[in-house]
Amino acid sequence: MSFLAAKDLQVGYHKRIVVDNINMDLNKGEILCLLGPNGCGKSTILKTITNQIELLNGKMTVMDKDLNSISNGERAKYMSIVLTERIDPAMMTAGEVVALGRYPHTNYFGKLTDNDLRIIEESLICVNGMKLKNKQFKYLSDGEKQRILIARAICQESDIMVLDEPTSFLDIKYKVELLNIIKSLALKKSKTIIMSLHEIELASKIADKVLLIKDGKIYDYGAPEDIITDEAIREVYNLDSGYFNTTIGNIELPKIEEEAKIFVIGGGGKASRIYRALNRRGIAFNSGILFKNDMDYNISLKLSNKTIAEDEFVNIREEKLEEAKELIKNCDLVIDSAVSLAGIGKGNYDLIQFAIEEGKRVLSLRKEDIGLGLINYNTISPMIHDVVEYLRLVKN
Amino acid sequence: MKKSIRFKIVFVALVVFLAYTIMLNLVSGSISLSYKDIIDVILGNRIFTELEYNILFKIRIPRIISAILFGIALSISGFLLQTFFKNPIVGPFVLGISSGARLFVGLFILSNISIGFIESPLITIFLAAAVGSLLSMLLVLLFARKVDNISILVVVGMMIGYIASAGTDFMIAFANEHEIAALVSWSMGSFSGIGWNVLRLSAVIIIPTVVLVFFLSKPLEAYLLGENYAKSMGIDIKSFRLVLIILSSILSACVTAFAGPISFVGIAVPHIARLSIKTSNPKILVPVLVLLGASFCLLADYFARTLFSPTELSISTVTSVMGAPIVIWLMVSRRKKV
Repeated sequence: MSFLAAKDLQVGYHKRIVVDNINMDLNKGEILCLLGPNGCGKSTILKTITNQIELLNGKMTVMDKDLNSISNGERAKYMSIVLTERIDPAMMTAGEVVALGRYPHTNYFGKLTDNDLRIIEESLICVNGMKLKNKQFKYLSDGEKQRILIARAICQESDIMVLDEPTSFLDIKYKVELLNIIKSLALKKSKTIIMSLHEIELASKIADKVLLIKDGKIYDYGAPEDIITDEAIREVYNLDSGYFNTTIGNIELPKIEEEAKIFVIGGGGKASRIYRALNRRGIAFNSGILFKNDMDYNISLKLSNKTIAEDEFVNIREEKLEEAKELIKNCDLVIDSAVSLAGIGKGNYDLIQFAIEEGKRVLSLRKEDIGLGLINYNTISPMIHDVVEYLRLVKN
Repeated sequence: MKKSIRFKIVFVALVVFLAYTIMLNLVSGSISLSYKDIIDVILGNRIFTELEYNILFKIRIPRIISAILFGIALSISGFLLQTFFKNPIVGPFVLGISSGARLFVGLFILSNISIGFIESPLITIFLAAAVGSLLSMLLVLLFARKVDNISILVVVGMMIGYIASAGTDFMIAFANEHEIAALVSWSMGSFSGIGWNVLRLSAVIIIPTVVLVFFLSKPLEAYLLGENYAKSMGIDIKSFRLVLIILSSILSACVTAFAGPISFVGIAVPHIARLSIKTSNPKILVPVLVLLGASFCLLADYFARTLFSPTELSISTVTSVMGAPIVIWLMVSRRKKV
């Protein structure tokens, strides 16, 4: 028997169905993420689960107890929430907001016992918020407010926590911090957590189960490693342009569809930034010779017009080298990302040498002098600047 | 400053201030009594003359008690409305609730309708005011569901107030002189001429209502986080909202029925209270509102009586001058924040 189960839920407003046929089952300590584009019905599902709007049809149970047949008061002991709506309680300290989480447990006048005070303190420590305790809630930053609201929910000591887009409005530092808190709540306190997220790449890192929603329909449900695929994301989010790599959790814009006049010798993860810098300025390019287990390879596939690649852990073969040489012959500039030229990468040294012999300019990020007359740069942006200048001269 | 110390200081200061305003109203007026005269009587060194006795027990003390009771009622009513609308700018007068009460009271005064089974005309007037308050409150709520902009809501409230006033004026046009005089003097708003029987009834209505509000401190505090959070913590939102509306309407109706429409107390007092005590916790705020609401009205009444003595100002004239600037300031400072 699973801890929390939803069977054939039908959710929506005023009898208008927004999402149908929602099924899920969660054990204690599991995290469920709702993923889907804006307006797909994520919020409607969460609002129904948290009883802000009425369930149209179906059944939700906690340990076989029907959640819809119990009073708000009893429900509060099972489920706590963190909403997206901004609250603005005047003249309330963060500590007082957190203390309200004890509501279902305190007496008629809301008197806090020593035990309550201890739990409030623990909850604040959990979100790293002890320093905020005596500050006015409304003067906190978005990230701090979010942490305090989570502490309030922790304080409620319910087995289930529902969070509606807890990471929106937060910058990267707070996002990571917040997801860490949520993860430890699931792991250490066995909270069952349901939340919606905007960030696909974060969902696969934190969720035990994912509900993929598209246009009011459940597209898929399961473990993220099984159902979050490049294809699924492309379909669910209607990604016609651009690309999302679910393996490395990376978003790229569409490639530049022009004749490539630049060749980037990449590898070792050193060329990805160069690819993006060129793509951003609308410059088409080819790239090689990359090994297929290289991070640059994945990104090059999406951004380069042509990618010359070699299998993992073998020396670069002659045919690949010839292919690359052909591309270099037809280009204006060669960029060397300072990939290792030793061992199996020796082929790329030959490539640079070939480019120089062909009279091509080779712009390089290499710190050491390899004696071939490369034009050296310390950082990427001045190099890209020169590339742009050069291309403009050629064009005129 | 530690919160608990601040609470104690503010409470002591408010009690002293209330005592001071009571004394002020006791001694000042056309026949002046000195503090020494009163203390002498309390100590048993002398007894009041008949004139002094009549002035104190037939005029000043009833007036002081009515200022205290109605000041409390207006402040708590405003506080409930502000909690309900999550906005510091609303109050019974601003939302047109007082005017609705006035329209219905006018209807009863002018038409001499009596409700069969209720003998006391006082209770009839109170019930008329309560129905008027509730109806205009419902009207405001109807609009509140459509507009989430509070400025528009305030304008809607004012318009409802104007319509209600137009209704009252319409009735006045068809009334006889005697009735008009009664209505006009009533609708000016005043704490004067309120008899002990009215005070007894008002106390029976106001004191239990305020105690009830105090007993709702816990959900009132949770409600500050918004309805959805409040619901998730276990509050039955629908009935809680209904209770808020009914309690605030009863309070403002009672004031309007017996003292006439009094403006701005409901907005100004809760705001001054929050500023001085620096908390929104109702358990602390409600007692502060009681003390401050009473002293605010006593002070306003003192000014109304003495500023242009022997001419007496209507109480709303004074509360408007004291309260309106606070509302304007609130509006402006809120705009800045957003």
